Amino acid sequence: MIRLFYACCLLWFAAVAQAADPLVDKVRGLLQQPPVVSGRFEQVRELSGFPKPVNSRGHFIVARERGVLWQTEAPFASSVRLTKGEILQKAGDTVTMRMSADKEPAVRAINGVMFALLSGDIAQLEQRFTVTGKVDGNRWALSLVPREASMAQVLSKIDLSGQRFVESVDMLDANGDCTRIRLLDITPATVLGKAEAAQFD
Amino acid sequence: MTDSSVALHARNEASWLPERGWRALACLWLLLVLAACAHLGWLWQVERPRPDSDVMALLPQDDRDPVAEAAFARMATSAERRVVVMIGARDATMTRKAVDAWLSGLDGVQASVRHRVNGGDLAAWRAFLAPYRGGLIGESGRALLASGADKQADHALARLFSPGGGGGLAWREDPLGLFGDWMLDQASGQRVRTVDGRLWVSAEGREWGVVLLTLKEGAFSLDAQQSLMEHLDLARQRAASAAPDTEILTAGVAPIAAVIAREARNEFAAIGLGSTIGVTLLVFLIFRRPGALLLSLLPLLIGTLCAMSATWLVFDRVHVLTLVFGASLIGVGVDYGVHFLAAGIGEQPFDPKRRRDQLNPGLWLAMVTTVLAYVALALAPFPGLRQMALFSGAGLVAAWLTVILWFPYLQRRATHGTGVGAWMGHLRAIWPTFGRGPLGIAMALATVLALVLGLSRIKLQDDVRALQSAPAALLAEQGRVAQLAGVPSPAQFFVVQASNAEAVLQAQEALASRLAGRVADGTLTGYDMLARHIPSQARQVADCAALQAAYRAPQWRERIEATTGVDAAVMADRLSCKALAFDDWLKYPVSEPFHSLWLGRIGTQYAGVVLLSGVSGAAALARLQALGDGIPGVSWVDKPGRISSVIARYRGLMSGVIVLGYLGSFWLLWRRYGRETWRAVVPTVLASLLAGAALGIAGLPFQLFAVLGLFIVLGMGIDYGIFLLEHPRNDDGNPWLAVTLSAFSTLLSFGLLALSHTPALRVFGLVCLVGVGASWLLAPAFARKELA
Repeated sequence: MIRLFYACCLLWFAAVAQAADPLVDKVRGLLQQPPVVSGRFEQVRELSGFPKPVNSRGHFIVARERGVLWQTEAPFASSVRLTKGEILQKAGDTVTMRMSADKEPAVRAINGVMFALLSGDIAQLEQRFTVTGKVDGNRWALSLVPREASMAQVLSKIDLSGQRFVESVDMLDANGDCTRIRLLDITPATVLGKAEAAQFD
Repeated sequence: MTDSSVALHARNEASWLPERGWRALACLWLLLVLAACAHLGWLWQVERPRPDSDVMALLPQDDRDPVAEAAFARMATSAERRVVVMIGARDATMTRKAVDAWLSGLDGVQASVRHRVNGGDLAAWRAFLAPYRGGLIGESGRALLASGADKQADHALARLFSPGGGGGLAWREDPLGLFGDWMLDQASGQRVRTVDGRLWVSAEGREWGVVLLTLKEGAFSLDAQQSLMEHLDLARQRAASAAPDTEILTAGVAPIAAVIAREARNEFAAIGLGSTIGVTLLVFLIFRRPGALLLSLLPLLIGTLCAMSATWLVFDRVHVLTLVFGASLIGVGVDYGVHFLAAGIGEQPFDPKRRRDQLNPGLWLAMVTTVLAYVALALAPFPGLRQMALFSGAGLVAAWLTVILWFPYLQRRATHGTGVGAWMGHLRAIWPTFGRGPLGIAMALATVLALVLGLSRIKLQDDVRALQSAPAALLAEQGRVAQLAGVPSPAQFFVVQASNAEAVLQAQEALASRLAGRVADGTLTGYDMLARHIPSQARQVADCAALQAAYRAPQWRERIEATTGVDAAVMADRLSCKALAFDDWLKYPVSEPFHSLWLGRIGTQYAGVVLLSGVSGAAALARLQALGDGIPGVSWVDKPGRISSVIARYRGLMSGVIVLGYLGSFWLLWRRYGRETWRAVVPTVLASLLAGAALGIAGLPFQLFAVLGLFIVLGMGIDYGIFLLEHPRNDDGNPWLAVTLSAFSTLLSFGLLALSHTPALRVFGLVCLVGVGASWLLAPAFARKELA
């Protein structure tokens, strides 16, 4: 997911205030935004030149106060942690990338968008994407197209859908690659558990 | 004047010219003055020259290293024209509003204004650079390539599964993300980014819009400064009304130069006004005749006119400081006239022509010693000092000529003494003798005490940056902008030169690995050089070969294939390993932001600069200086440091000139006064020492401008001795009255400079204040007590 924004590090996006939109208001009415959401994910990535899709699965935590933790468990243990100050990527216990917001101001923006996508902060997303979609009972589906040309050079669109929480995120890259994420067993909470909090330290 | 022993004490010197000759000279002088007026009038109407305010223009050229000099000149020119404005509000929406309102205030400004870049650049850059990706690898990438196949596979797979990765290229084009990291590094260290096409910085809890102005004229053109400041003020008002609670930071040479120039002009006006009022009051108090007052101001007026004319005749550009110095001339220019008038108080019968003949030798000596002191200033190869020397010298000669040639015809009525004048003149008779009597002993003790106290505390200061004073608030603002926007220092940097571009890049790469160590230990926060944006051919080839080898490693292939089904060896085949040629890169727009790092061809050499940011303190500079040692073609440029060393050299040299000045004056006076000469020289020497001691006591540094002050003390102090020696009878109050008037008018002009905000002028002013004051106090204390 960050791949989309990673390339945009040189260009980084600021908020544009948007007028209220009835669709967005409806979706916001359906979505819950508890301080902490956690669960499992399944990711399917279709990459150009690859004979078969690349699948992975693992756990995620989205904590409003702390950030996002994305832990891939299979087929290869690795993790990405997004916090206010940095992006940290690990393979097993080895740090393979660390990007700090002090050196790379885009980190804050990237983390903001990631957090908005996974927690369903539509208002935040609206500042960067043109949002269209539909609501059917408790289900909703939105289609996000980047407002900024520089972002559109990397990302064609994002489809989000869900009920009380975001349940799927499908991203289509400009180069034809496609990433589908399903979020399962979503559990809301008001505070981080001790073990979970430790992972953010 | 031919025989000094006869001339001494002579009260009736014969005129060496018949009256007709004097009259002809007076007419000739009138013609010259009219010519000077015409010249000034023409300048005023046609050329309208504006004085310079660039302090650097006052400093000598230093041509030891032409490439470094050219590099500095180019950096200085571009830095001088740049103004960076940061407009920050609490959120992005307010910032946009504020920036747009701010920009609306800039209509018609003489500068190119940039606050946006084209958002499409990135894709074009990537498309241009991607074919060369095998050779475009940064420090961390090289470290990864050296770390072994297993680590590399971990890295590549972590990138594949975690949502990270990319750099805009498909995973299999750059599985290790090396090109992506390299692209990212292109902008790292530059805190200014693009947000929605705008230049943007997000820091300190504010969103900042960044506007870059490039002035069409140099920062030191007063017209350009004024127009810029008006626009900036208007823009500031508009931004503030559009978005309250907006912080606006301005950085650039021009705004600072504008403030300094404004201050200099205000000081110029204040000091000029203060001294004019003071001198007017004094003259009025003594002579109490408007006619005498006007007459005594005439040499001053003529002197200033001639000084300006002569200076603009010789120099194309005249510096503001020259004018400030010239404003001080007011005190000296008035002396000769005052002396002439004072000598005529109570004259029986009234005969100004005879008086001219009597005063001529003394006035001549007084003028010559002073002018010599000023002309000695021109020995230093500082353009500003030469201007000052010419300005002051020409002004003094003109003032003297006006007194000698015109006063005998212009003074129509005798001046009558006033009570104040008589009382002042009378002081001479009761003045203590140095070291004799209670008062004289007190005087000697006080002198010795002050000398011991002050001279032991004196400290030297040659830092060019300490000569001028930018207001602290402005400097702090500059510092914040430099920090927020990550602006590198234009004053200290490396120049790398070699016979071709490839060699320049290779030398930079060698320097880069040393600089990396200094970044790690905190000496600096970052550096920028061409080699970071276009590696040398040699490095590109080596890096690409290492990458191909990594892609072909069996263990790597095995692990990648097991997880993805992709044969990793294909990745190696897809790398062309064709190095990106420097010239191609330079022609492509991708290189545009970095052109300032390339100096191109200078003589037979090619050169690039290595800019440093976050260097603070002399210790850090000293650590960096030696970093290039051993790498051919790398040289360290520290212009302020170099200028400071030149200043130190000239401070020493000119201190020597002062000693010579005293010896020269002694010799000149010896011919006329013989064994009495010491009476004129010793008090002035003591006064000069006291002036130095005053700096020590006041905690001000002894620097170049203190030496300048000592030149004034030399010129004036010896005059006082001369006037007293010329009129040795201590019941003759008139010469002492003239000396007192002169001293006070000098204190009112030069001495007032001690109030200046510019450190250099403050030091100069204090030296003059104490030096001239002490000369005045001491001169009669060393004079011969000769009664009628």
